[in-house]
Amino acid sequence: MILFQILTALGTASSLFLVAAGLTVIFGVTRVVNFAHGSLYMLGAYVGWVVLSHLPQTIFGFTLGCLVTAAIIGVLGVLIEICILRRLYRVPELYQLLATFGVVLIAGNVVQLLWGTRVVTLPRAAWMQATISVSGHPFPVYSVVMMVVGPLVLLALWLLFSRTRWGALVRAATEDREMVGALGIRQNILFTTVFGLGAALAGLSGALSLPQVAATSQMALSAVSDAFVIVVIGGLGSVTGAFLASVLIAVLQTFGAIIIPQYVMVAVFSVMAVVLVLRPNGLLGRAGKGGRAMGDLPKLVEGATKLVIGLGVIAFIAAALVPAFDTGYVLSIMQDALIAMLFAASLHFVMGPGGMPSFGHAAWFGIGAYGAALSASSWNLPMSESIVFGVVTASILAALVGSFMIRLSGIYLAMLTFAFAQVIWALATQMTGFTGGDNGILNLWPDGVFASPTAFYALVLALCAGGVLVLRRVLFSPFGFALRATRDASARAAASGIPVGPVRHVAFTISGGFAALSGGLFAFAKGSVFPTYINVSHSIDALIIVLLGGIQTMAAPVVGALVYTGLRDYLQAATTIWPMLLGIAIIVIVSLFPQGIGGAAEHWWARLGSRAKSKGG
Amino acid sequence: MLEISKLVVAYGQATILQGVEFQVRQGEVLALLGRNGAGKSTTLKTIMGLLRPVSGHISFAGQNIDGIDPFRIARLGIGYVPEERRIFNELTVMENLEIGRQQARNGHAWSEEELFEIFPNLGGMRARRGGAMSGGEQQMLTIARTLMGNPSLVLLDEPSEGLSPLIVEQMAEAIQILKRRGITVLLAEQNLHFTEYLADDAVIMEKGRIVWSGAMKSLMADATLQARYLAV
Ligand SMILES: Nc1ncnc2c1ncn2[C@@H]1O[C@H](COP(=O)(O)OP(=O)(O)OP(=O)(O)O)[C@@H](O)[C@H]1O
Ligand SMILES: [Mg+2]
Repeated sequence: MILFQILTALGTASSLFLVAAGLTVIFGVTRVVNFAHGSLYMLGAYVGWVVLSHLPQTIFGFTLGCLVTAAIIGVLGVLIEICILRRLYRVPELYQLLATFGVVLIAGNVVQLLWGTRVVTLPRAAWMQATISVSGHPFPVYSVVMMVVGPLVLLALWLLFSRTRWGALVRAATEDREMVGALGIRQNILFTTVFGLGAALAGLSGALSLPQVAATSQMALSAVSDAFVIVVIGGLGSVTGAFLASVLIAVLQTFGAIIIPQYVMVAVFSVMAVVLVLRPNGLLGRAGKGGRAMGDLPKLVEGATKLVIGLGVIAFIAAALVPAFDTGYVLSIMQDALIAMLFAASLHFVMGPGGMPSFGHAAWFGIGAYGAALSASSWNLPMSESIVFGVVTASILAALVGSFMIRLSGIYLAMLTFAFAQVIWALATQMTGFTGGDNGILNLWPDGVFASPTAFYALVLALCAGGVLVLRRVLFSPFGFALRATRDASARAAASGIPVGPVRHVAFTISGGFAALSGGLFAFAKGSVFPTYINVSHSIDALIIVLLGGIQTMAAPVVGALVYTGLRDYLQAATTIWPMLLGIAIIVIVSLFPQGIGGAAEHWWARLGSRAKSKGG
Repeated sequence: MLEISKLVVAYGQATILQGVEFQVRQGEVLALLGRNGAGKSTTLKTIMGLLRPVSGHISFAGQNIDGIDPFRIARLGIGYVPEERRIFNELTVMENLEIGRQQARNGHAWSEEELFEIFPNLGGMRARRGGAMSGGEQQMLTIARTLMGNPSLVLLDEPSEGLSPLIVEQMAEAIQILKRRGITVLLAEQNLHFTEYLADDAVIMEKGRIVWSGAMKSLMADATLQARYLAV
C-alpha cells in the first residue's frame, strides 16, 4: 500500500516537475516570472485532449499525441515570446509579470469560449489500466509511465544543458546575460528558444496528465501556484532543484491527502517556509540570483504637487456628494472603488516604498473579511467591533508570518506571499464547518448608526480616504524615510543605524492591517464573504491597480483603482469576452506605459512644465 | 580605426562622461589613463554598447556604432574584457571559451590550443569551473574568451588590477603578442608603469573629460603631468 502511494507520488512529481522545470529555466535566462506557465499547462491539457481523441488508443498513439501537443504548445510559447515578452525585457520585472498575467486572462477566456465550463476528461485506454507486477503488487502501466517520465526529462535536460553549445549558452545567460551579449551572442534567439522549450514541457505535462487529471479552466492558476512553490523550494533557475522539490511536494500532497486532507496546502506552505528560512535561495539556488530585489523600480516621487492635492480634494468632495444623487447602483460602485483604493494603497505601501512585492495581498483582505464575518455571525459582535476584530487578527498574523517573510526579498518574497494566500484560500474553502466553504458566510449587515446605506457609505468614505491619508502620512514620517532607506540600500541603511529587520516587519504588519480593514468593510458592504475574496485574481487586481497607477507615484492606488475598476466593470457589463479584452488592455498598457499611467502622466506633466518654462524664459 | 567624438554618458541624473573625444589608430596600443572614478570603465562600456550615450558618436572602421546592440558591436570585431572579468562561474574553462567563439575574421580564427600557448596555465585546467579559479587565472580566461571572437579591436579594462607581479608580467606579454598579431588594443589603466612599455600613445582622462593626449614617451618624460593627473 505504502509502495503504491510512493509510486503515485512519483507520478505526480513528474507532472509537477515538467511544469516547474520550464518555469525555472525561463526565469533563469530571461528573468521573466511567467505567470502564464500554468496556462500553457492548461492549454496542453485541452489541446492534448483534442489531439489524443483523434489518435488510436495505444501506447504509441498516446506517446505521439503527447509529443505533438508539446510541439504545438512550444510553438505557442515562441509566439508569445516574440509578440509580447520581447518588447518587455527592458521594463521592470513586476510589469513583465503583469503582462504574463494578461496572457493568463486571454488563455482562460479562449478555453472558456471553446470548451465552456465543461470538465474535459480522457478515458483511460486499456493499455493504461493493464498492470505490471512489482514485487508482487500490481501497478497500472500508466502510473509507471508517469513515474519514469520525470527522471527521463531530467536526464534529457541535463544532457541538453551540459553537452550542447546551446545548453552552455543557456547556463551562461542564466549567470550573466549582458556578458553573453557582449560576446556576440544574439540574445533574442536564445530567449525565444528557451521560452519555447519551457512551454513545450508545460504542454507535455498537460497532455500526459489527462488520464488522471480532467482539464478545467481552473487548472491554470493551481498549476502555476504549485510550480512557484517548487521553483522557490528548489532554487530559482535550478532544474535539479526543481526535480527534488517536485518529489518533496508530490510526497507531501499524496500522503497529506491521506492523513490531513484539509491541511495539505498548509503542510506544503510550512515546508516551503522552513526550507526558505534555512536556505533563503532554495535547495540548490545560488545566492544573489533570484533573491535580487525587484530590480530597477523607480524611486518614489517626493510630496504631492498643489495640483494633485487640489484634484484629491475635488475628488473627495465629489465622492461625498454621491449619496445626494443616488443611493443605489452608483453608491455601491463608489463603495467598491473606495474599498479597492484602500486595499491597493496598503499593497502600494509595502511594495512601493517598502520594496517588498506581494503576489498574495488578498490573504490579508480575506483574513479581515472572514475575521469580521465570523466574529459577527458566531459571537454576535456589532459591526464596528467585528471589523476591529478582523483587523487585529490580521495584524497579529501578519506580525507572525512577517517574522520570516521579511527575510526574503524580490521574486522569492513575491512567490512566498502568493503561496501564503493560496493557503488561506484553501483553508477558507476546505474548513466548511467553520467558514461555510464555497457557500461563504451570509447575512452580514451594517447595524446601529451605520444601518442606512448613506451612513455606511459615509463610514466607508471616511475610513478609506482616511486610511489612504494615514498611510501617506506614515510614508513621510521618519519611519517612512527609514523604510525607503531599507529598500534603496539595505546594507547602507543598516550601517547608518536603521534597524532594517524591524522596520520592514512593522511595515509588513501595518500593510496587512490596512488590507484587513478594507476586507472587513467589504464584507459588510456586500453582506457576505466568500473564498473568492482571497483568490489569486483578487491579489492580482490590487497588483494591477498599483502598477497601472505607477508604483513610484503616491497617487498610484487612487488613479489605478479608478481606471481599473472602471474598465473592468464596464467591460464585464458590456461583453462576455471581457477577460480577453482586459488581458489585451493590460498588455497594451504595460507596453505603452512601462511606468504606469500615473508615472506617464507625471512624465508628461513635467515635460509640459519644462516646455512652458523654456518658452517663458 | 575607432573614433569617439563629443561623447556624453549619464547614469540617471549624474552625467559621467562630458564630451569625450579621442581616436585609436589601427594596430596601436592606446593607454586610457586616469584616477579612480575618472570614467575609463564607463567609456569602454559605452563603446561596447552596454551603456547608451546621451549624445555624441562612436565610429568603428568607418561605421557608426553608437546605440546599437552589444552583440552586433561584438560581431563587427570589438572584443571587451571587463574590469570585473565576468567569467561564467558555472561553466568550465572550455565552455567559457566556447561561449566566446565567433566566425573567423580576415581568414584567421583563434583556436583553444593557440590560446593555451599564450596562457599555459589555462591549458592545464580545461575542465575546471570558472568559479574555482584564482583571480589571475580568471583574468587570463577573460582575455582568451574574448579572443575566441576573433576581434580586431580589444577593449581591456584594468587587466593588471589586483594581480601578483608575476601574473602582471604574463599579462603584459600577452598584450605584446596581441599587438604583434596586429590587434588594436584600447587599454584602460591606472597603473602607469604597466602601460609604459606596452602603449604607443596615451590619453588621460579626468572627471569625464580627456585632459591630455600624446605619445606614451612624452608622458613618461613629463613628471609634472604624471603628478597632476595620475596617482604615481
Ligand atoms: N552604475 C553606476 N551608477 C551610478 N554611477 C556610477 C555607476 N558606475 C560608475 N559610476 C560613477 O561613474 C564615475 C566613473 O566611473 P568609472 O567606473 O567609469 O571610473 P573608472 O575610471 O573606471 O574608475 P576605476 O579606475 O576605479 O575603475 C564614478 O564617479 C562612478 O562613481
Ligand atoms: Mg574602472
